Amino acid sequence: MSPHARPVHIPAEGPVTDGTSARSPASQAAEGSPHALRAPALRALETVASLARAEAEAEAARIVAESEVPAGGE
Amino acid sequence: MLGRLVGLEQEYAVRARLPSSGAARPDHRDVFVDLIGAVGRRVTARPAGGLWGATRERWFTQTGGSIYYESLVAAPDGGLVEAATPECRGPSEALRYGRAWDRLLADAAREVGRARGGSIVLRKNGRDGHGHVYGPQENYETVLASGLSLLAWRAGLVVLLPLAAVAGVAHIAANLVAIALATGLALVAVGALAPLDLARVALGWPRAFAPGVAIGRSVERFVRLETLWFAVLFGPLMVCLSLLLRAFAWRPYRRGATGFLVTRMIVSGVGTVEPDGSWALSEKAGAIRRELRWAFGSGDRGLIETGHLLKALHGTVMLRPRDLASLWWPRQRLQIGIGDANLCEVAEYLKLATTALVLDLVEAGVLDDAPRPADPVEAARDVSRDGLHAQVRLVGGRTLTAIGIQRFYLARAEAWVASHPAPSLEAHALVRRWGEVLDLLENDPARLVGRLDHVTKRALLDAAGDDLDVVARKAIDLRYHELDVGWLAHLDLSGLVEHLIDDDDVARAIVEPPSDTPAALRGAVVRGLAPDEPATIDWSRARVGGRVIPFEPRPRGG
Repeated sequence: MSPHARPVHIPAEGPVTDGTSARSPASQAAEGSPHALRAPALRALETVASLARAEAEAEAARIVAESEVPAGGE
Repeated sequence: MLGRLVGLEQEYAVRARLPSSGAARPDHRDVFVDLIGAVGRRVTARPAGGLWGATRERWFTQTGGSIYYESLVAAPDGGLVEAATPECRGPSEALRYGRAWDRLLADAAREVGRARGGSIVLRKNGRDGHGHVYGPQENYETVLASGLSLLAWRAGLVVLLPLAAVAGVAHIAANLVAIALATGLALVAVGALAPLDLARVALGWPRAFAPGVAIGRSVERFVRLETLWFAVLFGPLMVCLSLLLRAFAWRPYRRGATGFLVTRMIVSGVGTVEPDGSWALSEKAGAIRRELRWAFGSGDRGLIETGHLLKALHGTVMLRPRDLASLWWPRQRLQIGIGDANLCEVAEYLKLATTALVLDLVEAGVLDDAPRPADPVEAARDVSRDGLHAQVRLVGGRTLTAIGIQRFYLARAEAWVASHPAPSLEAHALVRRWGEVLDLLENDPARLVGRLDHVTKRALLDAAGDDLDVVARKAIDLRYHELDVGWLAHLDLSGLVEHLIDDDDVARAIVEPPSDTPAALRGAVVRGLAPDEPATIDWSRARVGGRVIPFEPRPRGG
C-alpha cells in the first residue's frame, strides 16, 4: 500500500502524522508551525468526523442513491 | 509569467429535498430555473438567447461568467448546474472567480430551498455514488501550433470543410424529416385514439389515453434519434479532426507537460472511495480514455479535451461562421480534462498555478527533455490508485515515481523563475509553496489537512472509523463536497481550512468582471442591457438590436 493510502494516525497530543513514513529532520523541525494539527484542530476534526459517522450510519444508502447524476456530464 | 488567460468550468450536482416532490427526485430543470431567479436577484443575469431567441439554458452574468443547465437527452430532468468563470488573468484571479461562483450558487440554492419548503444543495465534485463522472475542466490560453505545424493544421481544416458542410446539411435535412415524421405520428395517435378514449369515458370507464403523453413520447423519440444520427453523420468528421489535432496541435505542450498533468493529482486530487472500498487520489483519472478526445460524449474523455474545437467545426453549417473562423487562430484555449473539483483553496490554487507555470516553461523551451509517460492514460490511473510512489513508465523504458516527476518539474520551475529577467513575486511564492507541499506529502502528510483535499478527506474518513462499510464511507465522501453544508464546510467553520483569499475578494468577484480580459466588455454588455431589450450573447460576441459587439476571442470558462 502506498503512503498516501495509509491511515492517518491521530495522536492525543502533537501534530498528526502519517504514522509510518520516516520523518525527515525538516518536517520534525517544522512541527511547531501554525499549520500543524494540534489538539484543538484535532478535536475539531474528530467532532466533524463523529457527525459524519452518525449521519452515514443512519442515511448512507439514501445519500448515495440520491447522488446519482444520470450518465454524468461532459 | 503566470499572466495567461485562465478559466474554470465546474458542473455542480444537485441534491434537492422538496416536500412537493415527495420521495421522488425533483425535476432539476425546475430547480435550475429557480436558481437563475435567485442568482438574478443578486447580480444582473441575461439569457444567452440564440438563433430562435428562445435558448434559456445558458445565462451570462455581469462578471462575464456563465451558468448553464447541462443535461443528457436520456435524462433531461436529472441535469447538472454548470458554472464557468469569466476569462481571468492568471491563476489567482481564476481562483477568486471560481470561489465567487461557489458562494453565489450556495446562497442561491439555500434561498430556493427555503422558498420551496425544503432544501437544495449543490455538490462540487466529479463523481456520483454510482460511478458517473462529471465535474471540472480548466482552460488555459495557449498556442495551438506555429510555423509549419500551423500551416499544416490550417490546410487540414480546408480539406475538412467539404466534409463538414455535407455532414451539416445532411444533419439539417434529417432533422426536418424527423420533425415531420414525429409530428405526423403524434397527430395520427391523437386522431385515432382520442375518439376511442372519449367512448371509454362515455361508458364510464377510466380514461386510457392522454394526448399530451403521446406527443411527449414522439418528441422524446425524435430527440433520441437526433442524437443517434448526429453521431453517425459527424462521427467521420470528428475522427478526421482528431487525427489533425494529434498530428499538429499543442505538440510542445503534449511533449513537455503530459508527465506533469498525469501526476499533479498527488497535490490536487480530491480523493475518492472506489466501489470496492479502496482509496484513489482522483475522481476523474479513472474515466480518462485518451490523451486527446476522439468524439463527443462522456465515454471518450481525454487528458486534453477537444470538444470545443469539434463544436466549432460543427459551426460550419449551424450559421456560426465565426466559430469556424476561430479554428484558424493560432491561440486557442487548451482544455484540461484530468482535474478534480477542489474545495481546499490551497489545492485549487496549486492546481491552476503550477499548471500555468508549467505551460510557461514549455513555451520557454526548458521542458524538451521532460519525462514523458509511455502511456499517459495508464499512468494517470496508476498514480490515482498508487499515489506518490506510483511507478510511471516513461518513453525510453525508464520508470519514475509520481512524486519524482513532480520534483523534476518543480526543479525546472525553480531554476527558471530564479533566472527570469522579469521576476514575479507570485511565481517565487508559488514554487516555494509547491516545494513545501511535496516535502510534506512525503514526510508529514497530515499537516496538509485543510490544504489538500485528498489528505483532508482521508483524515476525516479515518477519524470517522475504519469499521464503516463502503456505502457509509462513500456517503461521507459525497457529503464532503456539498457547498455550505458539507463536511469540508464544517471543518472550515472549525478553522481547519487554510484560505488564500478573503471574503471581500470573493464578494468583489461576484459583481465585478476581471478588468483586462474579454469578460470586461461582456460584463458591461450584460449590465447595460435594458430588462426587455432583445439580445443574444455568447463567449465571442453579443448581438444587440442588429449591432454585433465582438469580444476578444480568447480562452474562456465555457
